[in-house]
Amino acid sequence: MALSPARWSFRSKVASVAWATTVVALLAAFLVFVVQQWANEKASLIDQRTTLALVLADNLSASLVFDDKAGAATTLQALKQVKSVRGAVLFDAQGAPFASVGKAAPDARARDVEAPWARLSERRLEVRVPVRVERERVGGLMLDCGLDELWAWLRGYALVASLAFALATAVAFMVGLWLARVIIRPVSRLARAMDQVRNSGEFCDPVRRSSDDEVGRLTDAFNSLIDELKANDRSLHEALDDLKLARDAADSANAQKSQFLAHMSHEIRTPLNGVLGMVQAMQMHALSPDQEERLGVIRGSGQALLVILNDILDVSKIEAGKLEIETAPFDLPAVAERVRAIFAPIAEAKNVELRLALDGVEGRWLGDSTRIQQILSNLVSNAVKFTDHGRVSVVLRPTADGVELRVSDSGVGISPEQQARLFQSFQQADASTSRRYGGTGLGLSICLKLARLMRGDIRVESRLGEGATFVVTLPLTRDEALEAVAEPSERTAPERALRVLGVDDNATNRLVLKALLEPLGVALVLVADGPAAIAAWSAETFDVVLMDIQMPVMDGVEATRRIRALEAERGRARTPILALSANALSHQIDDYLAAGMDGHVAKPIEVAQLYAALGQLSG
Amino acid sequence: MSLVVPLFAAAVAVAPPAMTADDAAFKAAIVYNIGRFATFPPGRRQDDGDLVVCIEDDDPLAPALDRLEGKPSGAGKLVVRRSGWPFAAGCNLAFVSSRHATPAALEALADQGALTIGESKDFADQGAVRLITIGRQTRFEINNGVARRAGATLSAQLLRLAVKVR
Repeated sequence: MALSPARWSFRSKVASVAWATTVVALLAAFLVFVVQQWANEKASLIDQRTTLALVLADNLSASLVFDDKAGAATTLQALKQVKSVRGAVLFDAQGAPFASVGKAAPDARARDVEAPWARLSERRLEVRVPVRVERERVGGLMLDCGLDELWAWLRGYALVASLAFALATAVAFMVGLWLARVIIRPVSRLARAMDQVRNSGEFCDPVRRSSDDEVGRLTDAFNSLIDELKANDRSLHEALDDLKLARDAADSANAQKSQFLAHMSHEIRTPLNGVLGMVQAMQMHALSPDQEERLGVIRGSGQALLVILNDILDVSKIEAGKLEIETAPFDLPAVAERVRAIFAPIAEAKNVELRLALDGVEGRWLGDSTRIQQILSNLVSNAVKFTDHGRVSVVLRPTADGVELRVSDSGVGISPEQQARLFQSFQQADASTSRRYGGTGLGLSICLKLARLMRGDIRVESRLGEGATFVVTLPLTRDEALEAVAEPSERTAPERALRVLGVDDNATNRLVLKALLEPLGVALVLVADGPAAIAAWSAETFDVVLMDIQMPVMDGVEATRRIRALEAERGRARTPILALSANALSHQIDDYLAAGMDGHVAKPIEVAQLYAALGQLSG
Repeated sequence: MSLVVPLFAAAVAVAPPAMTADDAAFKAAIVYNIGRFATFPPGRRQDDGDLVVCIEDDDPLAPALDRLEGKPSGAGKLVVRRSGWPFAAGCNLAFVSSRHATPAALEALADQGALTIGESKDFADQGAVRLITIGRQTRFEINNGVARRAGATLSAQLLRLAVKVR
């Protein structure tokens, strides 16, 4: 209800209080005043009439004692001039009516009156006075008075009083409103400021203090509160800004670190390419067993370096959020078999049994085969590394929502404390472990991150001295497509001589290409940049172009695009172009293919991979 | 005077009946009341309060006045002094019978400070208050000059009731 006082505005309440107080006070004052005036008027009327009666009595005393009825009547006639006197009776000493005027009925009681007496009823005023001569009572006089004057007075007085009351009430109302506005203004100002703060969330300017009362103190309190909030807010923002700067600095440092790692890995990869390429070239010739063994050591060392390099690169990519997971059909048993094939000789050398069990996972699945192989390789590598005798078993089986890969060993086992730190970067089961077994400590961290990127997980079940089991769960789905894609099969070198254009800005890489391809009788032309490649390609025809990607002046992608454009322009037959790049990401390979390239060979160059790619394109 | 004479004549013509006891009492009361409506200078009343009314022993009004003796009057009471003619000094009111109401006697009484009251026809010529009986009513004629000469002040009420005031 809008009429409920609880819903009134503060201003209405104050105005109402002021008004109601005034009205009540006025009403009381008027009532008291009217009652008192009424009493005064009555007393005055009684007094006047008594006085009149006394004067008359005095004038009538002689008529009474000298028995002059006519004189008494004449004197009484004077009362006709007094409007409110309706009648009068004069009694003699014996109480008999002596003379009268008007309608007054003789009242025997009047004769006994010894002192002035008056009785006021609602309708009349009766006054009785004794008539005396000297001190002797010689008779009595009774006056019968109407009260018309009194009532008329009351009516007039009530009217005037009502008008005055109405006027005073109206004035009180105006004053109340004005007073309320004066009182409320600072409160309203404060309320508005509070609303503003609440609605906008921004701090207002200090509210002007306009009085020294409670509201003034409230205003002061509010202002100091706002000041304090402002100060807090300011220091909070400053702290936040500092934190942002610190975070940006940290992010920037981290980005620089990742950039540095990527750069370093690239810089390391090029000489490694030279080492590994030349070793492979040397292995093509007949060598003494000593030489064979030494070259094997060089090649193994180089590949170990490459693994470390790839791990570091993966970590930096994962941290930078740049690692991409592919989803493509692949043969899961074949992946597992490849891993087994890689580690079987190592296990055999340590006299450790490596077993692979495929428990209903046969067929093709959708997923990132490279990364799954990476995870599996890592786990098997660790298992073999930390197992001195006994066996390592790899079990693959389907689960309700994908595949589970279990790699169990009978090795040293991992304590619960070690398990907790196992998957963190740069952690091994024990700081001493790295000295004993080698490794960067990045492997498991990368595995976990890769599994998580594939929306899977890795957990470890182990007790110290009782071996360990790593369980990888991956939410893979089976590939429903019927088309069977043949795994690239390894091939031997092509039989007839090929004309190959090699494009690489790095002299070492060019020498590696030359060392690897010339023994096969390949007619190799080597150039150092994009424009030179286009010129060479224009001058003669090639069976294949091996195109490095990152080159100064013009990169491989641009050179390829131009060659394809020139082919279209000149109606020349399409020359297959293979990209030579390190660790290319899938979207980058997409870019290469979009530019017109036909395939991709990773650096450092593996002879088998290179020959397979060449054989596919040429043959 | 000319007006009073016919009235008086008429009254005489009616032949006043012999004064009854009631009439006497009534007249005595009038004399008493006249005294109550008259004021005398301070010290003129006997013993500073009593009003002395002088009347002849043989006046028919005397017994009626005697009965009023001792009634309150002013600060004191009514004292009736009955004596032979002429009255001794010290009267406040003097009821003068018709046979003694000569101008000289009335003037002498006034000079003594007595307010003279009488009933004879020309009493008001030298007397202060003349009682007139009209039918059953008794009225009076006042000679205020004589009253003042006697030192008495008659109240306005008394003067108003008078048939004639000179």
